[in-house]
Amino acid sequence: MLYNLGLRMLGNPEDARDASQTAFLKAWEKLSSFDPRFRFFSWIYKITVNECLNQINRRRRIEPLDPRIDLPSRENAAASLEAREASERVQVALLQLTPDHREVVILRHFLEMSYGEIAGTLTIAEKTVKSRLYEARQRLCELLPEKAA
Amino acid sequence: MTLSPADWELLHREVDGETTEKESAELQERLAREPGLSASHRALLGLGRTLSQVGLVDPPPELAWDVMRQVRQRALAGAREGWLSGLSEWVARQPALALASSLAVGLLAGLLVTGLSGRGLLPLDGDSISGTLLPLDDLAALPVVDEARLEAPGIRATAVTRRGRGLVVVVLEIASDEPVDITVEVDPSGLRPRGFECIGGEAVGGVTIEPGRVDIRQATAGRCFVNLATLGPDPGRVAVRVQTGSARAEATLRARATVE
Repeated sequence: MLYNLGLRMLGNPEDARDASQTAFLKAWEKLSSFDPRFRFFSWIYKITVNECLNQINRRRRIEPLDPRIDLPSRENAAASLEAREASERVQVALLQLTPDHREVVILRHFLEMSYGEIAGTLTIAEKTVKSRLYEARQRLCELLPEKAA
Repeated sequence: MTLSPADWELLHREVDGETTEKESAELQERLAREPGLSASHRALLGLGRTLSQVGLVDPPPELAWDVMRQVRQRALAGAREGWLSGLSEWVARQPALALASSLAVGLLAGLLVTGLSGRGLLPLDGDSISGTLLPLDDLAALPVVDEARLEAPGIRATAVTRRGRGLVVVVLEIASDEPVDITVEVDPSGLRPRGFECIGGEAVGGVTIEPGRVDIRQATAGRCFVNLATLGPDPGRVAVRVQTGSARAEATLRARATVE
């Protein structure tokens, strides 16, 4: 899950690997700051999202986001070319969203989190989650017109 | 045609299954006579389908090993520097955290290697699969949609559906003296079982979660939460069956409020 979160946020396997690995190690080292009143996985998702945002900010200073991707599919050889192309199209569209919009789409549609869970993970208000999600979807409808229409 | 912000919000709430039955019925009438609204609705539904078709990706197999190797190295280095012993002592003073963290560390390593077979299944947290990141107090405070008493010889229970924040929660209060088997069935196209938590009692015979159905076997008196993710506009209804070897009680509950 952490890897997939990183992959969709960052768009390439190498960065996703770095982000998930760093997030895990940070969680390990910061265990003493974990508040047991909250869900453990909400906390570690938050660390992963923050690590992805850090990577995006670092990369922004160096180079623009590269929409080219090479996603190894779960079904791999069995995956149809069409499904693979669809996955890549979605990834390219995701990378055209702002990070704020991308993260809510990923948490809602790929991790199937509820509004409340997203709000808790990102430490933002539920109404902010909704407005970002709604704007992001409308943008995605424009970016993925033939499938969305 | 440009939609108003209120109409856009209504469409988004509809595709998220957040509208009431009354709002949904009114929207369906408008969709039939407003082509612009209908086109936007179709676009949002199509987008949801497109995104749902994108599967999980396997992480590289060496990732978990790399992480565990680094954890070991840091643990050894930390032990030399003393921080690990301090951390260990702190964790040891907090049994619940020690359990959660040890479970989580093992599970995370597993997740990094294998991923999860079901999309959206949120992982283990404590001794049950909660299926949600929200605290139990939040689930218990969601607005009630429907409720029913389930009674038969040897069976005393109530079932309540609560809804909000993108979830439907079935709360079952078991008051029977003897353990009971509980089955919760939903339309798999409208709701996805995400997890369960038992408070007070326990599921002695285990719990099975599959598409459209959750079986809690030999549940003792207490409160069980069955957490369901809304998948689309119409969550359908929730069928609850409670039974012992000789008796059975059942009820069907609404998953969406008729009005707000």
